[in-house]
Amino acid sequence: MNAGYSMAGTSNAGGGGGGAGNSNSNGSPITNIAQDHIITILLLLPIDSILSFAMTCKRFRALVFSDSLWESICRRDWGPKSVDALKSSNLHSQQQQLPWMRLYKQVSRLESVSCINLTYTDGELVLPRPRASHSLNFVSDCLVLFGGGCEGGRHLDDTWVSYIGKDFQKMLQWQKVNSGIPSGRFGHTCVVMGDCLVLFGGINDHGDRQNDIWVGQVTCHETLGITLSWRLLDVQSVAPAPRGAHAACSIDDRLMLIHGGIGLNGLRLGDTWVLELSENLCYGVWREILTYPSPPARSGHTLTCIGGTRIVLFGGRGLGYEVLNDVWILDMPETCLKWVQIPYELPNIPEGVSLPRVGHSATPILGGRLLIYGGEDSYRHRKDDFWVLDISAIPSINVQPTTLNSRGLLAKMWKRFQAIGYKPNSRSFHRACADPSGRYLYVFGGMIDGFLQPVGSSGLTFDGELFLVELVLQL
Amino acid sequence: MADDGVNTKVEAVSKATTETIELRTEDGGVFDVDKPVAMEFLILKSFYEDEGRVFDKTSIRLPNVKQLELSKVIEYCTRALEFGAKSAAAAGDKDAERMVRQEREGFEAEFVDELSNEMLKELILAVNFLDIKEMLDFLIRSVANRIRNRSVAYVRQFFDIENDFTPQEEDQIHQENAWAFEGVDAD
Repeated sequence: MNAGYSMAGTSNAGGGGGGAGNSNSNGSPITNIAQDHIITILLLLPIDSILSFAMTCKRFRALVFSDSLWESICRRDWGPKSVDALKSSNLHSQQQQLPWMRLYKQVSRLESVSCINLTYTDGELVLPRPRASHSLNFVSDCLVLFGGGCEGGRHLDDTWVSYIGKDFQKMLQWQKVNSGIPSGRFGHTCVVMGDCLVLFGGINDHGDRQNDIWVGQVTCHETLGITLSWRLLDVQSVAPAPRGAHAACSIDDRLMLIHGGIGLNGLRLGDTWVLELSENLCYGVWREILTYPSPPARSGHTLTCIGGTRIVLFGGRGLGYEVLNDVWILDMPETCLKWVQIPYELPNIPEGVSLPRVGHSATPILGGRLLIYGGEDSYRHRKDDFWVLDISAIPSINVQPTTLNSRGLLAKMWKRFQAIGYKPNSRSFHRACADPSGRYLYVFGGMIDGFLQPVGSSGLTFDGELFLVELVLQL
Repeated sequence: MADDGVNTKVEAVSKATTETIELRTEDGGVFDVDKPVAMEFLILKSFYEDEGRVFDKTSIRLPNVKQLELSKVIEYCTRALEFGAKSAAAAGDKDAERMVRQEREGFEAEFVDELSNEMLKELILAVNFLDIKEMLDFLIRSVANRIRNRSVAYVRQFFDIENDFTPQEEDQIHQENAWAFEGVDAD
C-alpha cells in the first residue's frame, strides 16, 4: 500500500466566522465553531431559551444582543412581510437600522391600541354612504371599499378607493371608481392576493346567494389617477354552493380558503373549500377539504391567515342560532389538512365572558397575532372591545409536544387590549384591514346602536365612519 | 490489510461491488468507506474533484476525526443515502412518502437518543471538519432540542462555559430579560 494522503487539520475549520476574538478560552471547542452555526441553533429556540443562552457568559451576551440577530428573530416570529414593510417605511425616516431587539420586546408587551378618527367631515367631499357587511381591503398602497348593505336592506354596488401610501394618519380622500360591476351584494368576502383582490359570493337584496368570483386590480395612472378594474374569474371545477356571510382568507398569494356561511334557503353551512388561482389569475380551481372533525356550520365568523401558514377560525353564529367563541386552526401546507380545535375555558380568561361574538373583525397585526374587534353577542348587544388572540404557543399538529403544559399554552392565548384616544361606537358587521406591516388597522362602517329607535329589523343604524387603530411603538 | 486499529467494513449501499476508499482516523482506526458515502464528505469530494485526482484506493488520513465519531458519521450518511433513494422511489405516492419520512424520523430520533452531550459535541466538530451539510443541520437541530427550555446553568454545563458575570451584572441582565420569562415554568 502506498503512502496515503493527509487532510489538512485545523483547529478552527469550517467557515471560521467571527474574525478576531473567535477562539476563546471559555468553553469547550464546540463554542469555537463558526458563529453562523450558533446563530442557526439560536433561531431554532424560543425567546426565553435565546435569552438564557445570552445569560451564560459575556461573549454570548454580546452575540445575542445584536440587532441583526433580532431582525432574523422578528422575521421568524412575525413573518417576512411585516419586517420588510417596517424596513421600507423606515427608509423614509433615515435611521440606520431599526432597533429590532427593542421592537420585539415592545411588540410582545403591547397592551393597548390607539384610535384616531379619520372621517373627513367637510361637507364638500363625496363620501361612501354608511353601510355594513361590505368589503374593505388594503392593496397596492390603497384602501378599497366595495358593496355592502345599507338603509332599507338595499344592496350597494359601488367601489371606492383611497390612496394611502406611507402616510397612514392623514385624512382619507375617497374616490368612487366603479359602479355596477360586480353586481350589488353584501355579506361577500374579498381577500388580497399579491396586487389583486379576489371577491367571492355574497347576497343581493332579492335574497339571491352568489358564488361568482371577481378579480380586482388597482392601477395608478399618472394622468388618470387611480382606477380599479374588476373581471369575472373563469372557474374550471365544481364550485361551492352560493352563499353569503361566510368567511374567507388568502394563503400566500395564490390560494383562498373559505368556510361556512348562509346558503340557499337560509341554511347555515359548515364546508371548507380551497380555491387555487392560475399564475396569470385568469382561472381558478376549487377543491373541497373534507376532514373530521371540522368547525360546525356557522355564519358571520372570521378566517385569518397568520404568517402564511396557519389559518385561524373564530366565532360566528351556529345552526342553532347560538353565538360562538370556539377557535379552530388549520396548518398549511401539510400533506393532510386537518382542522384542530383549540379548547379553552371562558371562566379562565379575565373578562372572557364577552368573547362569544358574531359580525366581528379579525385582522392579523404586527407580532403574528390577531386583533379581534367589535361584533355582537347573542342578545344583539354590540361590542367595542379589542382582543388579541395569540396562537404562537400552540404547536403545529406535526410537532412533537414539548414540555409546555396546557395551562402555559393557553395562558397567553387571549388578552384584552385597552383602547386609548378616540372612542368609536360599538359596532358589528363592520370591516377592518391592516397595512402590510400590521401596525395600522383601518375600520369602516358596520351597524351601530340606533339612538332614536330600539334595535329591530327596521331600526338598524348603519355607520359611515372610518377610523384608524394603531399599535403604538417607539421606533 | 494490516492494521492495529479497528478495521470496519461498511456494508455496500448497493449489491454490486462499489468502489471504496480507505480512511484512517487520528487514533488508528481504519475504515473502508463506499465511494457514494465518502463523497458526502465535501472535504473529500473537493479533494478529488477540484484537484482532479483519480479516485483510487489510496488511504486518506483524517487528523481531526476519531474512530468512534467516524463510525457514527458513516452510519448516518449511509442511512441518509438510503432514505434519499427510497424517497425518490416513492415520489408522487403520498402514503409511501409519509412512510419513508416517518421511518427516517424514527431512525434519527434513535440515533440522537444514543448520543451523550459529549458525543454530540464531538460529532459536530467532526462533521464540521468533514463538511457534511445535511448531517450538520441534523446535529445542530439536535443541540437546539437539547438546550430548549433549559436553565442557564444547564446551558453553561452543556457548552462548558464559565460564568464571567459579576453577581450584579447577572442580576441586571436577569431583570432586563424578565419580560420573556413571564408565564414560563422554571426548568
